Amino acid sequence: MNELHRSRDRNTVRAWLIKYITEAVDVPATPFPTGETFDAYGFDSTETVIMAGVMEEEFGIELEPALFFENPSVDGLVESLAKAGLLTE
Amino acid sequence: MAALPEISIVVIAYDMAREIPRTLLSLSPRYQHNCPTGRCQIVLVDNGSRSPPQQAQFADLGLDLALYHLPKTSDSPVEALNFGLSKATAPLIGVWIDGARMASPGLVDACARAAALHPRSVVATYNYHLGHELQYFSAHKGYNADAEDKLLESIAWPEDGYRLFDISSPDMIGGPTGRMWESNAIFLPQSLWRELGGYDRRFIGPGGGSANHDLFLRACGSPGVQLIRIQGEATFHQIHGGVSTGARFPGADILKLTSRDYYRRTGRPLKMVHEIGWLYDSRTGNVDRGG
Repeated sequence: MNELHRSRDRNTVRAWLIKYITEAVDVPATPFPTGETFDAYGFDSTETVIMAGVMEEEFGIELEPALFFENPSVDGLVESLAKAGLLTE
Repeated sequence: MAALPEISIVVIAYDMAREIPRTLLSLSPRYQHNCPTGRCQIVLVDNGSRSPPQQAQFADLGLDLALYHLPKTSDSPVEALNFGLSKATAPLIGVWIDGARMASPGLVDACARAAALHPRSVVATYNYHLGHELQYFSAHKGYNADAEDKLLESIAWPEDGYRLFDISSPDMIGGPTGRMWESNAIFLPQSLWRELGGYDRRFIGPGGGSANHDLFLRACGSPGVQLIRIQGEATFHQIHGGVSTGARFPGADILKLTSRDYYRRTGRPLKMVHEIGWLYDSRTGNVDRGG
């Protein structure tokens, strides 16, 4: 991992996702509905893919858009990233 | 001394021997409504094509055409765009970042009339792809230049340019009042282009990366501007090299790369323009100013 990139542990990624989404759409950070699908709070597929591009830069990883479409929630995405071996524990 | 044109259009070409003749025909007095020779100057900048276009090819179109050949120094059109902007002389300047886009027949006149409604207008047109599916997808299903040529023959283009809408797919999110993130035929007053400094030279990737998105965002975010969306006209993308990848979600992949490029260059996430602005109906001249 490049030192310029963020740590890819589960908590850091989860917190980053929540911060990014709450800055992009009008949804409260606390309590954030991590189990709700992105579109439930107006974070649509276009915004999701834009976030994927930013995540790649921030965390220094390559992300298949399919990961975001198949598990479109914060919880689901974190699980998918872990299963794909993209997170460190 | 010849009068200055009312409108300049900067068109960037790179290896578009098939596409540029149609694009220029679609911008010519033969095709554009209420756009006689002298009203609109075309600044065609060839960005280092292997077989560059020549002025004589377009002699019969009645265009006020200034053709420049630049050496290929980069995969990005940004330097060519800014060069073209420096050569554009009219008070209203439109830009085609991608010379493979044909126009509908009333586009130039409509943009000029819309621009006259506000001193700091940002006039945006909608983007379509030729074909019954966006080319990000259709290119993976056999859609190619031959199929596109047949499609254009099927509507006897250029007889009625509005029939392009019958054989094309809109590349927009949420319809005509949905979010926009770029316009591939954008018109601004010359003074606003100068204020913006043209296109940002940091965008050096193929096709300019997110240079066009960045320009649109900066234009719409400038103080005192008025976004005006043109209804009833559009540009239509002809398929040409390098449209997409072999990915499972090709449109998403392009968007992701664009997002990544924009973030890398600016440190900010890519945003779309949510503002609807004014809607200018090219057929009636009516303006919906919202609210």
